[in-house]
Amino acid sequence: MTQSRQERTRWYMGFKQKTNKLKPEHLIEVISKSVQSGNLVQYLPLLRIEKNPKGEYYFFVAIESINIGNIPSEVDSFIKDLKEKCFNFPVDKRRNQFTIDQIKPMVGVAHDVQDYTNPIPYRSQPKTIRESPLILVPNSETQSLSDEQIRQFSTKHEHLLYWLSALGSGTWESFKKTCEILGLAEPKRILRRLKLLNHLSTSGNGSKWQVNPPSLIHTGTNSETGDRTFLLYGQRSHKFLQKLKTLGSLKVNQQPRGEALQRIELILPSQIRDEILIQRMQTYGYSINFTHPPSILSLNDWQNSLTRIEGLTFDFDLKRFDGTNFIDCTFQEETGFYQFWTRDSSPQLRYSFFYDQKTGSWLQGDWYGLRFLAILSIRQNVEVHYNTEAKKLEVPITQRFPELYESYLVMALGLLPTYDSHLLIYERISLQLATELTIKLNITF
Amino acid sequence: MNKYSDWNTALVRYFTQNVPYGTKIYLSLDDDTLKKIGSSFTQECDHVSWIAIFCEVVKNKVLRGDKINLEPVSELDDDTGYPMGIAFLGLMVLAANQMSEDEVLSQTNYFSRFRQILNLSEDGKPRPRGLEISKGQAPEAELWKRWNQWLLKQGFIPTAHEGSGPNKYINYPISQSLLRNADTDRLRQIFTEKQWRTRWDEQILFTKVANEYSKFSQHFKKLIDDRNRYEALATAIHETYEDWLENGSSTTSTGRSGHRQWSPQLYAGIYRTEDFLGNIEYYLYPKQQRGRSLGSLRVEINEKQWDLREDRAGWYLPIGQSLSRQEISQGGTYLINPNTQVRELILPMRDFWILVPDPDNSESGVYASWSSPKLGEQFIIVFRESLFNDLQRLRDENLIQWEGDRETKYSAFGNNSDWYEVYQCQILSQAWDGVFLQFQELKDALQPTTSLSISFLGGLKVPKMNAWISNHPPQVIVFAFHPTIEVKVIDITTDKTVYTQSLSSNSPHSIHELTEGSFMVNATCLGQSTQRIIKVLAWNEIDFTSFSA
Repeated sequence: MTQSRQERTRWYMGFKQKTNKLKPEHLIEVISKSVQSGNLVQYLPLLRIEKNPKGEYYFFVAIESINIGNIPSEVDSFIKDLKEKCFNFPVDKRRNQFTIDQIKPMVGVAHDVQDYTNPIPYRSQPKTIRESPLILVPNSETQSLSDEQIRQFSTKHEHLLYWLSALGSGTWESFKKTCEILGLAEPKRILRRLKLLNHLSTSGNGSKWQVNPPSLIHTGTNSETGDRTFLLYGQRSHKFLQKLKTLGSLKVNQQPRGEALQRIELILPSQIRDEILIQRMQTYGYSINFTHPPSILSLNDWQNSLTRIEGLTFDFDLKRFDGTNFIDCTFQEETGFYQFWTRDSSPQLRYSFFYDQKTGSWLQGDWYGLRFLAILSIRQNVEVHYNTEAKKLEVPITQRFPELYESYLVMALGLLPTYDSHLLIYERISLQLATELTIKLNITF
Repeated sequence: MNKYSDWNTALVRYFTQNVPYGTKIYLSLDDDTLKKIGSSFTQECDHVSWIAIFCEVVKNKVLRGDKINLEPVSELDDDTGYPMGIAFLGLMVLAANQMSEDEVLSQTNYFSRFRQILNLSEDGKPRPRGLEISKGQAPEAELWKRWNQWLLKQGFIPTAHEGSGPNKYINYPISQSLLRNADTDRLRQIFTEKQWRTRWDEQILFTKVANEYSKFSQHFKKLIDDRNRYEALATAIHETYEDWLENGSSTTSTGRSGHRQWSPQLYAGIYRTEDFLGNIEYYLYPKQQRGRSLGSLRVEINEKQWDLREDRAGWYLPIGQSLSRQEISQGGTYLINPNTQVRELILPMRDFWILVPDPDNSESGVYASWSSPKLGEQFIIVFRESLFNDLQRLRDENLIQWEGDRETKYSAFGNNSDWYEVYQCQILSQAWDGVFLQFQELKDALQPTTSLSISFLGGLKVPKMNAWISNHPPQVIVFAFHPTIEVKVIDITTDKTVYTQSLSSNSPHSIHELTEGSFMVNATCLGQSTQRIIKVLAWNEIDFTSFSA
């Protein structure tokens, strides 16, 4: 029976050899092949050769056995077999056994015959804890920016979409890293805004993103000229926009506070029909889609579409949303929005999930969406106001809609909401859209 | 008969199509390769062999009487942009590959073979007429340089280089020669003797073959010992093996006029993802066949069909549900439809997988079996528990390092699994020769294949264009086993050196001269050198490819 490695001791037998009889590299080759073919690796882990070998050189065979000086029978046969070729001249005929400390000055730290004493340093990196882009910390702070700052932010966002468009799809990590390189802070919010504007979509858990193909959604027709206006979303590049300009004119607006890339509208002369535009863009290598506003999903259907989390372990401290804050709690299978914090000296927020008591399942989804479910579950009044004259829908920041529903509002005009004190304001929302949306969300205004 | 340009195009495609960027390219043209390429032409070859046809076509192109004239093959092909000289250079390598088992390498011996191929009579001079050295330069050297330059521009690593002394120029074709005809015959004999019928992948087969070291010629032994050629040699051995399996395990090649078949198998690697809950999943990651265009293919996995769609050069997108421990442990064979070109996708049974970060997007968090680990790169090893002793031995000898202490390993499939992972592995040293392992293939897979490597770190990369965005160029880091390296940056458009500096190895450096344009970064250390091309683009130059409907 073989001993485990821990029970064995490593020691060395030393020999001399002449370069003109057997060069060090050939010695390694001969011994290496014999060790492999004799299946002696468990006894003979390595061979060390004198640094800078000249006409005559020393080499040391490492042996792992029960104690120093004990030569396993297999190794004994191996040495006898190769005696003539390699092991004819032991360093010490009576007591040929050495420790690493005894031979280190002679062989150095390297085992090769060449002077490779400059290893590549190990780059120790802490294992990154993967964080979900779905975990947000609510932030209602806004700061006033100069026009120049807004323009700069907007350009950076434009570049981000160019890059995402070229890549097509990727992971949350690559998105986050690119934002960092471009100097765009808070990548989770940037991802969210790009989703609100329909430029990209993500997988259920947010770990992967895919940029949407370039698309046009009709927003209006000039009653006099018949020219049609379309909102552009999805993939874009400088070259793509240049080609689009050959077919119509582009109207460009900044998003509020430069929080996303410019809103672009295409004004298409009446004589250019959809098919012509599609064909012309195809000749330039671009597939472009004409789309319609999507039908609004019921809250129930949306909730059922969320990813269910299986196999969740409870070696975390839990906090539950009470309508305003997250409060320490013990999980008692109550419906609600929960945070999972690591149990260590500096607790970290790892996950946020919604628990649905009816189905006994944990749901994963966008942060505001899960909070919205929690708000409804504790029967908090959602104070939405619709201004019929100004066609504005006002939503309290603390009761922001789920991402999907907010996207219906944002895509009505292609503009992100503005902030007013504690309110989010969505402009140019038709009464029909406001009514339909609130009905689907089981709320009233 | 196919034209010279047809052969030239077919050769370039054979050696570069479906080959990942950053791969070393060897123009290792041999009889078997010519049969394979010939069989792709629509025309049938009656009575004469593809080798004879190829030689005749090249001869007609470059021979004027008994004098070689390289002018007709010295430019780029107008239609393809490929250098026109590749078929001629291929013929030069063919001559090297036809040298007998232990024939001494000399200018006279080499050109004697070369003359035989072109039916040129001996005239008492080593070099044939038209290839005489003039002003210290051999005419064909310019073609080799052009080929190297073209490969670099495509993102590959050229390998043809001149030698020293009288063999200075013949070293170009010699350096491209992998398996000589005699070596492939010997390999077939060994496969037959050993009756190796398991469909091993390249790495495993290489180790099995290397264990038969004493049975090979000096030339083949040199190839095995040369770590620089490890991957290319493993591929060449594997192609011979596949052919042996397909041709009824015959000990001889299929005959000079026979068809060398493309492999009916595709092989898969492993693609690893990890989600926010720390759940690790592995997927089948099918590899494309080098140099071969395949039509639409579907793979049947557990009674479900999966389309094979290209991910990037060399690879299809990952397919199937996440792999179970059993599948990783035992490997698998999956049927392909239609089965006219390829029949099966094989996940080899292995004891370990080395997974490196995405070379196109290292921040993505995805690891896969894209390549062997590069110097300085951190990777993951997925392994059976029985390999852990060997890994610890490598760590004890400061050859590799991984995150945590020598006992640190993570279960790959939860509890009660004998598969583990070690993270953030890195190769530290080049001194592997005197270390012996139980699993020799682990050593073959991990031992560095280069002693010098240029990496681009950070910056904003546009993956599918293999370029960086201006204002966000990468830092340059040269990994080497020596403290300093000489770095030179050449602007390819102007051919001017824009930067030259002695830099510390293994640490990142910002090179401000990398502005918009294309540059060749050249690193030299202890007589060895390596190059990489870098493209830097303005924002308005990047574009997207539309999704197909």
